[in-house]
Amino acid sequence: MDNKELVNRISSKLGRNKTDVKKLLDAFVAVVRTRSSELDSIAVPGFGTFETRKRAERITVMPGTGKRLLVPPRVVLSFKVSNVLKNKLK
Amino acid sequence: MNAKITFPDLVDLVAESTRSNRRVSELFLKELFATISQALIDGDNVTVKGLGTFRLARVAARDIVSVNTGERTQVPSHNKLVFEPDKKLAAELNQPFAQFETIELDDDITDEMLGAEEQQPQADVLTEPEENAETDVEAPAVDLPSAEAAVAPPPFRPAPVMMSAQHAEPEHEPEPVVVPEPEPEPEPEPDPVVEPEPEPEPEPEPEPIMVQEPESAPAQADVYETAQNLRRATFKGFLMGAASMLVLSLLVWWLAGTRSGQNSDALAAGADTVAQQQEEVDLTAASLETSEKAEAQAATPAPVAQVTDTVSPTNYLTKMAVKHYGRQEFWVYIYEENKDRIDNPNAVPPGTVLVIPPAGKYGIDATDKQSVDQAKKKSFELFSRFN
Repeated sequence: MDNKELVNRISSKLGRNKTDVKKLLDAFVAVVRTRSSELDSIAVPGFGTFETRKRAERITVMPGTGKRLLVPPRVVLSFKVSNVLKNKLK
Repeated sequence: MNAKITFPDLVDLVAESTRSNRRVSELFLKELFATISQALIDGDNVTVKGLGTFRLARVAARDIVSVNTGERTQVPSHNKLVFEPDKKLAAELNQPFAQFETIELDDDITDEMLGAEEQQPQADVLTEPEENAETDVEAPAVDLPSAEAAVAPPPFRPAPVMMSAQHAEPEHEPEPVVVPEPEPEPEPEPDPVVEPEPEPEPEPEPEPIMVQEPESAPAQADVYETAQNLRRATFKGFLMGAASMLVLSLLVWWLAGTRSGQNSDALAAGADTVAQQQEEVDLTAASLETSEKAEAQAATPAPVAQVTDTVSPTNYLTKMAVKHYGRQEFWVYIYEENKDRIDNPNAVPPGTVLVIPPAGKYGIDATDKQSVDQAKKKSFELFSRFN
C-alpha cells in the first residue's frame, strides 16, 4: 500500500476529504522528522516507537579478502514494534 | 533532546502544525495507525511518503536450547515487522556524520595504533555535533565575519573561537578545558551575555536574541566552514591563547546560560539604541579586561586546574574518554569521578558538566595494556550493574 492509497483509505474511513488527510499525514511525517533529528523518541501505544539511535563506529573484516574496514558512526531512525502489534502479526 | 513524546504530545504537535483542533488530529492519528496495522495484518506492505516502509519479513522456524535446563524447544516460523526509513529522511538524520566514509585499514596497522586511528575520526565527529547540540555556541558564530578567521589575534578572540579551540583540542592537548575556580566571580552579571562579542563587531544587539534561536541549515554550513578556517589558524599559532580564551568563553557562556538566563532575555528584549552605546562602552572595557586575563592565564597556567567536559547527545562518556585519554575504555574513570552526578552511565542527561580526572589519578595509560584491561574489567562490572 503506497502513500496515495493510505490517504484514500483514511479519508474514506474518516469521511474527510483527501487534501485534509494528506495535510495531516504530511504534518505527522514532518513532526517525526524534526523530532527524530533532535534525537527524541515518539511512542504510539499499540503500534510502536520511533526512535533515533546512534550506531558507534566499528571495524569489520571483509570475509573474502580479510581486509579490515573502519565503518564510521551513524545516526539511524529505528522503529520498535509494540508487543500488541507484534503478536497480532505473528 | 532525548525526550519521549507520547501519543497526546504527538496529537498536539500535529494539531499545532496543521492548525486544526486536537480532536481532528487525534482521530486522524488513531485511524492512521489502525489502517497501517490492519494493512500489515492483511500481509500488505505500507509505505508512508517521507517516513519509510513497514513490511513483514518471514522468520523461519528454529530450535533453541534453554541455557539453564538444556531443554530443546522450537520457535515456530513467524512474521516480523521491519521498518525501513525513507532514504531522504535517513540521510537527513545522519547528516552530522555524513562526511565520513568507510576507510580501508592497512594490514600493518596494529591494535595499538588503532587507538589513535579511532581517535582521528572522533575528533572530527566533535565538530559537527557541537553545531547541532550547543546552540549557545554557534548562534554567535553565525555572525562571525570570516575575516576574523584569517587574522584571529588571541587577545580578542571571543566566544566563537571557542569552537576552534575545541576542535583543535582533541588533537593537541588533553586538557584545554581548564576551569580555574576564582575566574567566574570577577565577571559582572549582565556582562557575560555581551562580553563574548568581538570588539569590532558592528551590531552587538541581535546576538543575545539569537542565542535562543536554533540556527538555519545554511548558517550551519557557514559555521562549519568558519570553524575549519579557525582550526587551521589555531594550528598555526595561538594555541595557548585559544586555550585560555576557551576557558574564559566557556565560563562566560556558562554564566550566561545558568545564572543570567532571564537576564539575557530581558537584555535582548530591551535592547535598543539608547542601551547600545552604553553597552558598547561596557563591551570595550570587558573585552580589554578579558584579554588581560587571557594573557595572564596563558603565561601561568593554573596549577590546580580542573578539566571538565559537558555531556551532549554526541559527546558522551566514551567519546570523552577517547578525547582525553585516547581510549574509550577509560570512560569508567570519568564515571567514577562523577558518580554523584551520574545515575546511569548509559543515560547521562545532556548538559551535565563532568570533571575529567587527571590521567595519573587512576593510572590511566592508553599505551599500557594492563591499564586498559583493568578499565575494561571495571566497565564489565558497571555494565552488569546497569544492564
